[in-house]
Amino acid sequence: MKLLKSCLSFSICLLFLTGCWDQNELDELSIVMGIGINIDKKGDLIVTYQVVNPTEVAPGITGAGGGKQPVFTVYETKGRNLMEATRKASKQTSRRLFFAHARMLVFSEKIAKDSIYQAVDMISRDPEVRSTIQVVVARGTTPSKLLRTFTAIDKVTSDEVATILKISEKNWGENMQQDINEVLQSIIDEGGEPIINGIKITGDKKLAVTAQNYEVGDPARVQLSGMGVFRDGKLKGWLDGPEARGVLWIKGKLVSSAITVPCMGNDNGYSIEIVRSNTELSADTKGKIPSLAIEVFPEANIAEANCAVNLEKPSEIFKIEKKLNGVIEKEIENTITAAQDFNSDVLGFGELLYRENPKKWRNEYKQHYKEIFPQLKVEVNVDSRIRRSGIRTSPFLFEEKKKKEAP
Amino acid sequence: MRNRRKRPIIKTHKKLTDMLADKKLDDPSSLRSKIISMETSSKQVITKKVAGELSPVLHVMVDRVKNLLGEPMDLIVREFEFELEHKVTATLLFLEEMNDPQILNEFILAPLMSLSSHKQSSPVPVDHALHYIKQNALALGRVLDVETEDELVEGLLAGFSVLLVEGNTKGLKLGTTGGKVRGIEEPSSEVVIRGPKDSFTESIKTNISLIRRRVRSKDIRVEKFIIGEVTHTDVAIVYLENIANPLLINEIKERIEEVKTDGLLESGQLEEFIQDETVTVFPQFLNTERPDVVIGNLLEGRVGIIINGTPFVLIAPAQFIQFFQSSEDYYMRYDISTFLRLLRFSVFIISLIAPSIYIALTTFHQAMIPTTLLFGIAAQREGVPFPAIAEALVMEITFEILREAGIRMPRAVGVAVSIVGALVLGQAAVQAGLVSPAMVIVVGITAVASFAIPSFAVATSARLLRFPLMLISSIFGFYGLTLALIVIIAHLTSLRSFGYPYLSPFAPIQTEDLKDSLFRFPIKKLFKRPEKLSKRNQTRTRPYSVKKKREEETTR
Repeated sequence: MKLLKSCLSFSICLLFLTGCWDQNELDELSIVMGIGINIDKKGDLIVTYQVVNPTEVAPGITGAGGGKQPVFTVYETKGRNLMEATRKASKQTSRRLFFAHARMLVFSEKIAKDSIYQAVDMISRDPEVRSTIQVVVARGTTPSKLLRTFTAIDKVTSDEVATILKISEKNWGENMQQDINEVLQSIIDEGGEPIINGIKITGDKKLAVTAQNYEVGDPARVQLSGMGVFRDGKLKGWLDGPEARGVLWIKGKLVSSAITVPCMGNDNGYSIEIVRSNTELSADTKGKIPSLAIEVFPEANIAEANCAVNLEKPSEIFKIEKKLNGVIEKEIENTITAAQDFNSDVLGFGELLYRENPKKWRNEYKQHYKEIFPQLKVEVNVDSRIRRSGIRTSPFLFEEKKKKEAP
Repeated sequence: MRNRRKRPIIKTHKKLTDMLADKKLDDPSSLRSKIISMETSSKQVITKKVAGELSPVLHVMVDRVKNLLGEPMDLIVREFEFELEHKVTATLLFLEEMNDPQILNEFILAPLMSLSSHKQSSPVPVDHALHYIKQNALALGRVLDVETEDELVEGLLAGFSVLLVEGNTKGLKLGTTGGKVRGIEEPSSEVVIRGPKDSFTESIKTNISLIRRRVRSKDIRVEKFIIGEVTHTDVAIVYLENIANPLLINEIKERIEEVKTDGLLESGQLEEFIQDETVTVFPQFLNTERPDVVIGNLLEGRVGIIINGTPFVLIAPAQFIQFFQSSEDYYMRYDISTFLRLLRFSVFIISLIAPSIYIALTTFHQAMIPTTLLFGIAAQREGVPFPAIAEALVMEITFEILREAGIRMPRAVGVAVSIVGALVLGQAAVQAGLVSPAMVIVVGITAVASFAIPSFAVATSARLLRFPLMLISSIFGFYGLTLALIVIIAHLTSLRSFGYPYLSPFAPIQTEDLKDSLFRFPIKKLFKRPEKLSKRNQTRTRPYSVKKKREEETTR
């Protein structure tokens, strides 16, 4: 009897204490892979969701349709703010939108120019969205077009973009992964501003949004394109090419890249492969305008030498190192100038000054940082080391030259 | 509830301390008279309540025995005569299939019947006949006096033959026990690749001999009990006197003596009678078919309990970690043994929580599944009509049915069942969209995992706990699963086996014993016996002392 009573009370408790509130069977979820945010003329947010169709993506499983269905579908809703738009999506979807696996957050250029502040809070607040979601800006296109683009290798666009970012950061270094956390951190940092990767569609844009894009040999693709510089949450301009790489040099995020160095009259003679790099920043806060010193220590290999140079001589290697230092210094200086022209401290100098001298930052620099930043004096110093030259020493051009001179 | 759960622990402790106090007062007569030390049984006088003296008149006596046993057809009454001073009539009584006819013929009947008065130096009076033939004629090792009817009948039932001589108020119980028993075979439930291949049989005598043959120590003790009001089953405890804790021995003896039951057919029954805690799924005794396992445990200070009629010998006290150790661990190199032990433990965890993890992941924590895998599972779940928990329960119960069927069914239909099981239930269920392939994989790995645990007893506890864990994780996700695991661990910590903490050497932590727990250190490092078990004799023979001696000699 006692047992019965306790069982009864236990099961009554269960009714009220059930933990089922966030229980969802997998087939009741729509897995969102990408979120796009745009703004219309009235100021309402247009939110686009890229939702995968798992039966088409999963390896080895062919659903009832058997490969006829598209890999993903796209929903689009409008709302005064992000949450409103998200919940409105339920008017179109038969399943709950599930954000935990979203890999890409695209802002349109329009909203980026207007202000991204209106759209980042929910993304960072919602427990479901991961903080590793990559933030990009659609350059010369809209998020809804970008999310509708069919990509050839990774079938889901958002997946493809996130992977491209990862690979490109490691191999070329003109873009760096910027997830929502890093974006927010750079906003919160003293004097800091975010810098966000740009992405564009290349090729036939009309073809891009049809499944036929899979079938042609030269399909429309998505491609990284520079990094957008923001000021007060508004997109001010773009850093492209080597200027963008300068950001990675300064932030010490450059893993690997290839740098062209002139060689005996051939402007594009050497290609130097950077294998690892270290950056040290220091600040001097004595004066009214503080001065900074950037020291970069790259390690490099010779990847290409298109001139008749004798690489067996160490002096030649030192020459290359010196030239390489010059090229990198120039790159970094250009980046700093560009940032100063935008008057946007995407490089994190403000935070550096704050850490160097918190009191002075708070009392003097902080209020006038907008005036101080463009005047900052930065001394750039690169000290590179060339370690290896691949599996041969001197280029074949040198051997050929030797042969001609010998007889 | 609380009181009931705590009781056994308190009881044990109290008993142990009480025993400590009483230890010196303990006088041998307080031991139950039923206990016969097999070593000294020939000398010990059995003091049973006097039911009926033996009658000196032979045919009266024989009639009474027949009466008592209900005139059984297998009771053989052989009357014969032999000559001392003059002719003496004697009767040999025995139960047919329980005695060895050859011994009866060659060593009892033959020498007695060839006795003649001529050979005697001095005449023997009739009432001394029994003593005389015991001393001079019976070429047998075990010959005991019988003084009461009860004793006589008990002896007959235990497989002795009984010799009664006209005019004597005593009889002789002759150890001619024989008959057919199963021979020593390879163990069927504890197979090893390297290690002894013999195993216990149903006969307690064989089993004791298997142990004795391997331990030639004067300190080995075999004590016998008789349990079961009807079956009178022989139970023996085996231990090494110089190693085992006397308090533990007393506790075990006491608990065994307390057992009151009609019959004892298997060690599992005794286990239930004498275990510390009844409300638990975890086994508190190690059971084994292997003599080497018993001896290994005796050397650590544990006690073996052998029951006549079953090849499974109990070992007490048992620690949780022992169920993941195999005797082979000590015969193989320590590195592979350590690896295998870790593997077995993880296998236990897998068989315990694999389906629960699957359920929790797919219904609560989809964010934790790698994206690509999530697509795969989601695609498989597409079109499955049941929630993950129903799917899992269906598959797990199906597997349990198959397993039970596999054990019970006759061998001849085995193939049919495995075909139906594997093809129809596995493949067809997936193709029909009743369950997802991922679920089949999970159930498969769970099933295989549960068979990789060396101890069947602990595998069954994982098997039982699996279902509540699945239900909990379908309601509360990982949160619930974690809570449930905490409860299980708390329960394990509260368990005692004869007062010894079940989770030792982990809780309470005993650093020295950790060397032989989840890991097995090189055998040279294992020179300590388990700390709590062998208080008296902590250190094993140290390999180092020999080595040191040698080194000293060479330096000299």
